[in-house]
Amino acid sequence: MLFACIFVPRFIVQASLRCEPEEKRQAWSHRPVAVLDGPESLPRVFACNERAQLVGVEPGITKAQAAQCPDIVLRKRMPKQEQAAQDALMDCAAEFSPKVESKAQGFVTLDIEGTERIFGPPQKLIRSLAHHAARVGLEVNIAAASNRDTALLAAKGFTGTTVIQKGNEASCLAQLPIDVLPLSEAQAEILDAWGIRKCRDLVLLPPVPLIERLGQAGLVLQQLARGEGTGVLVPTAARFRFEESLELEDPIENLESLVFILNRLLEQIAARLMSRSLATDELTLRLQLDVHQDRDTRKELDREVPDCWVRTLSLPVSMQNTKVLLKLLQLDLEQHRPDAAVKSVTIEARPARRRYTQGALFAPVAPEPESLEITLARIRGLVGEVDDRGRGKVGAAEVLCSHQSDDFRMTAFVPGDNKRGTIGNETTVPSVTMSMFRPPLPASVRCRAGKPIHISFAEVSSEIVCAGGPWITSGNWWKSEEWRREEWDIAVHLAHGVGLYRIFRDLRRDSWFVEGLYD
Amino acid sequence: MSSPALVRAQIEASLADRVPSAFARRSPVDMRTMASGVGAIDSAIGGLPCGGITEIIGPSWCSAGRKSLQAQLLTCATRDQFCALVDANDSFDPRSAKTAGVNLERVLWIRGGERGVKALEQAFKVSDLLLQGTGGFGLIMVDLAGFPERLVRKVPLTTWFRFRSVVEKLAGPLVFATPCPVLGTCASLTLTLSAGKVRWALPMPGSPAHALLPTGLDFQIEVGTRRSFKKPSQPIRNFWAQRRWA
Repeated sequence: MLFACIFVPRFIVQASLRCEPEEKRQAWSHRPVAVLDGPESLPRVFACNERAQLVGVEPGITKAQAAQCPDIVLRKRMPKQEQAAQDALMDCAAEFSPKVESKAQGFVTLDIEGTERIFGPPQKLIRSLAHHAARVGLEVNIAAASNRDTALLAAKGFTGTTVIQKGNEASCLAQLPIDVLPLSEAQAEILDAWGIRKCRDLVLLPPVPLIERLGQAGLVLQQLARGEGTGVLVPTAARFRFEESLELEDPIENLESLVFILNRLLEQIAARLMSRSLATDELTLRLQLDVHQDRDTRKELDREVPDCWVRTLSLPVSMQNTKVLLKLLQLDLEQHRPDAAVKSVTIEARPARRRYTQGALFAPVAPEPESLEITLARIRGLVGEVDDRGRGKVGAAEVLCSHQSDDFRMTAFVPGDNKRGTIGNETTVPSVTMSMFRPPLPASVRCRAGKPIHISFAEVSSEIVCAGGPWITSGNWWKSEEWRREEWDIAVHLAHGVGLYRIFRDLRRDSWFVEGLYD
Repeated sequence: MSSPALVRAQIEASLADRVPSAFARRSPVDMRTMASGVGAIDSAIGGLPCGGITEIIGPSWCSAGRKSLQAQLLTCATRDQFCALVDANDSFDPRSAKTAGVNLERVLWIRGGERGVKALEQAFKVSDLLLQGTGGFGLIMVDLAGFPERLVRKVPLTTWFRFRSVVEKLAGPLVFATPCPVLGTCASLTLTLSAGKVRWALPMPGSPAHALLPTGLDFQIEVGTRRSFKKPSQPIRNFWAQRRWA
């Protein structure tokens, strides 16, 4: 068997920084960073990086004490970010093996037996693994060994990538400090009192006296230090939750700055989706607003500003292109700007199967879905999203099965579908089509013996030369939107020729309207 | 060398690095055509010119056949292509279009909602986005027919020239439906429709008024071709559209 273990040193700090824009992360890599946790009144340092430790910052000290350290970056702990980082690590590992175990934060073990033909020798595989982890913003140590426990200890103890050949486990682990072993506090104290500092020292102890003093646990520790671990890998079920969030140091007010943050979060999500060979068909953006600081804005708006601004972007086709997703989010936010400054950003992507590049050999030429979606988002920005009846303004029409005229709904326009659809006829004789007036034009109609003889509406005022009707229709009498009407087809002589109109009398209001022109 | 010829040669020489042979007559380009679905048009000119603008002209408020012709074009195009319809006045009727045979799933319908100049501006912006933002549409149709003539005439000629240069790169035709001729030389094909004649189903003597049904419309059509597009091989007089019920 062959196992690889990924270990993220200082996981809490890395998880806290991984969604920051690249430039910021680069700048902060040379500065002390501490992550704070605890009540708002007295936050304490929960974790810190090496540089922070060098200047005297350690877990447990208060925020005020940590803040005295010059140039320190203080971050608030966000369990969501840690969960997302762990999920990202799992996604990375899942790209290389179906058997992935995640037992603790910052650790992922995977079974890589039999993957040589796909990914090459273990050295190459773990280098690719490290590269993928860097893509999701994590700097990791990776080790490969013939048993799970040895791989785990080596990943914890050696920096970078390490491959331990079968039979060399004991000699490789010998140089590692005893801290890499899973010691309880009492065991650590006892071993420290004995002067045991390295795994080599523990291996040299005689087993019987060790059991007498530390019990069976002592023997297990010795076996681990010798590279004779017997742990079994129990695969962990994937969560398939692609969510990334970032709490901002200072609330952001302008959209341009927010776009940088969105870009970074989307990059992370896209990398994770790619690891799982997935795409997304729905993006949910949650912006936590700083409403308390914007009391003036609330007064101006004269309404309650919600704390959380949520926008959901439903995509007609699954996508994973960061640039396209970012542009769509940007266009959506330009139309629906948050009412206050943003203090935290969360993006969640609903996973979906990746789109086929080519659906069928004889599929019609269709617009490229991603660029089309951006174009449609821009068009929606121009013409609006829905009309006064709540029907979409951009998309494909779907005629509803109803007796009410002009009853349709708008659906997403999805190109690439090879279905021939519902083609009514393929004859060469054209069919008379109607030009609708939305809303129907109010008209003044004069009748004789119940038959319209003269009509005037908009620019038209004429005698009716021929009228067919009435046809009485009604519907929705069981709802508040009840309708009852008397329809007529009328022909009028106009300056440029004949106009054939459909008019109707609303029987509920007793008023006439022109619905459309047969054109 | 005569003086006009000399001046011409001098201008051509000075512009040579920017506009090669500025005054040279361009040889006609053989434009591909897309079947319109109207037998009379297809047999005369082969269909609508791809990479060119077709202008459908018809008087406002009259049953001139603009929508029926548009629906027929969409019916024909949606059999194997995707189409876009910029409906500036929001007057497209999906129910009658479906009855006419349009595959609505393949029509991207952009409904305008504004009135007046704003709606016109909106329609042009949307058309620009469609032409430049994405390809792949077999037919792009811009319906400006519901606008008053005075408004459409205000559109500067440069706008049409811009569309003409953009559409040259398209694989399909670009169709504008207007209430009066406005595209001038920018249109490769002009289809001028004039008011038709209504055909009524003849009821029996003494039949009630609701038995009187319009069964179809006869439309007059006049074809004008410009630029390199071919001349009609036979005259087109009219086409007939029958009424169908969903």
